[in-house]
Amino acid sequence: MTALFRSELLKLRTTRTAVVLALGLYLITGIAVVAALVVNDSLDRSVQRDLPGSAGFAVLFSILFGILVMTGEYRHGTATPTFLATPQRERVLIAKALAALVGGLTLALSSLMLVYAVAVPWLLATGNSVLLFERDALRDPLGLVVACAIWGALGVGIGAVVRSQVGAMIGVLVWFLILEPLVGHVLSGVAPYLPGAGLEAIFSDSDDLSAWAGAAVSLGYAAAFCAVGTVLTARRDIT
Amino acid sequence: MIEVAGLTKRYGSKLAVESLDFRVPPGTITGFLGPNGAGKTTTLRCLLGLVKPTAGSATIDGLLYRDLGEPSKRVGAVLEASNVHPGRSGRNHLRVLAAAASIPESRVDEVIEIVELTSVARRRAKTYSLGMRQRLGLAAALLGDPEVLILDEPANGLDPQGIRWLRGFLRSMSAEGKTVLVSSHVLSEVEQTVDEVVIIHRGRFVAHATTAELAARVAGNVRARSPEVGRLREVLQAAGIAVTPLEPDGLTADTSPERIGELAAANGIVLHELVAESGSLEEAFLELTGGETVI
Repeated sequence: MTALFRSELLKLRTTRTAVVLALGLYLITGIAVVAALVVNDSLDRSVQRDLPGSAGFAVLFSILFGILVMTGEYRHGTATPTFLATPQRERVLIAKALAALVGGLTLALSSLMLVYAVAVPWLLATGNSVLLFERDALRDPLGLVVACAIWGALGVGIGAVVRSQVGAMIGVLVWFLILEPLVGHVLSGVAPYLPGAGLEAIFSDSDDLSAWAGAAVSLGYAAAFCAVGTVLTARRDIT
Repeated sequence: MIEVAGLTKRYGSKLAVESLDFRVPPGTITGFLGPNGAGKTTTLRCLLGLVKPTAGSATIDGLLYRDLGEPSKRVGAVLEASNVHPGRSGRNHLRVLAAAASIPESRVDEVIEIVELTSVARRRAKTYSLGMRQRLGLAAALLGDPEVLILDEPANGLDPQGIRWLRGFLRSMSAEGKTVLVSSHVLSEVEQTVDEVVIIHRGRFVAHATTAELAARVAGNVRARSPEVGRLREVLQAAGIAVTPLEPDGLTADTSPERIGELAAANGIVLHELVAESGSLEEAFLELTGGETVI
């Protein structure tokens, strides 16, 4: 398993995909944090508490990352050599889910570091006290790290089920922008347990779900997609 | 020992492979031949555990590929030259596969040298020619120094130099005592290197023979030319030999050159030409597969 995990990390380090994805995230995060610092007149406690939210796109990038990790194998035909080296396909899936989890973690931590690297000097230079590391201000960053790790693995599961890179990405966007609001409206009973709602609960205990329950919901989806994806991957013909 | 027994694979309503049986004995190079679409790739993918047979089995040393333990160290395979990430260098492609199979990195540079890719190994794969990609595939197959090599159309897209290089490569593998199963839809690509051929057509078994046996199957006719071709024909026919006229002054006869020579001499007939048309493997292959090959 260690060998497979190392192989997956090496795959990530030897193409530009991960770097390009990370740079895109840093660009968005940088713009968001500067905008937040400029737009707000007083950088008080509540504004500072929301600053780490500038790195919020890390969740979307983590799921895209997970999708790329899995679907790239089909897109470039590398699934064949990969499954020749490791015919136990379920082990490949586990290694990929772990790699994407670490990838999501890294995206979250690095984009948060960018937020702090911009915000702390800014606050000091403008004569504000730095309240970013107070206990209640650390809740959202912690949630972001957990969410990104889980959603990275979720991306691998979705990619394993769908296989098509474009299909998986469009599917994810369509779900969150169109389908989840619709389903939540029609079946209001399950609304808090849908993936997007679970994610939101991680950051702001909703009426129905605590942050931990929200994390559990996300984890449940990640586990379910990875399980179905593993079964499908083991059964399908690699042609 | 590679063993295919009763192998059947159905894709929807299409039978890609039907009740295929053959064995590849250890230490031989076997050509796996058939026209495009005959089911060669499907058979090899079944053998490598990538495609699940509808019925029957394909095993290596009596085991399914996924039960081989460390498969990279027992079987090396090249399926499609394009199976590499375009943005990754050839060397990194091999490092990734070596890591997954717990093969030391020093072996990566060794196999790069064997397939003579050293000068481009650190370039991104999208800059590779088809021939370089084929070699990269071969390098990947050799990583675990396996006893068995399974190559699907390795000559596809190679230029004449590339094909010559491949022949030399296969001969060196044979000299090392490896078992090689190499598929092709063009017999001439492999006929100089293989010991035996397995021929399939439309998913079914057609023949398994040594190259010599195959050539013997199409032992040809004898062609003769004579200024007295009419008389020669009468003499041959009188001796019970089937004759086909060849314009303007020749014929082909289903017999040996010696017999025609003797009969001509006995009857005082002048011969201008007497040629045994030896059967070529290509002819045998075309005959067995209904002439549907692409040359």
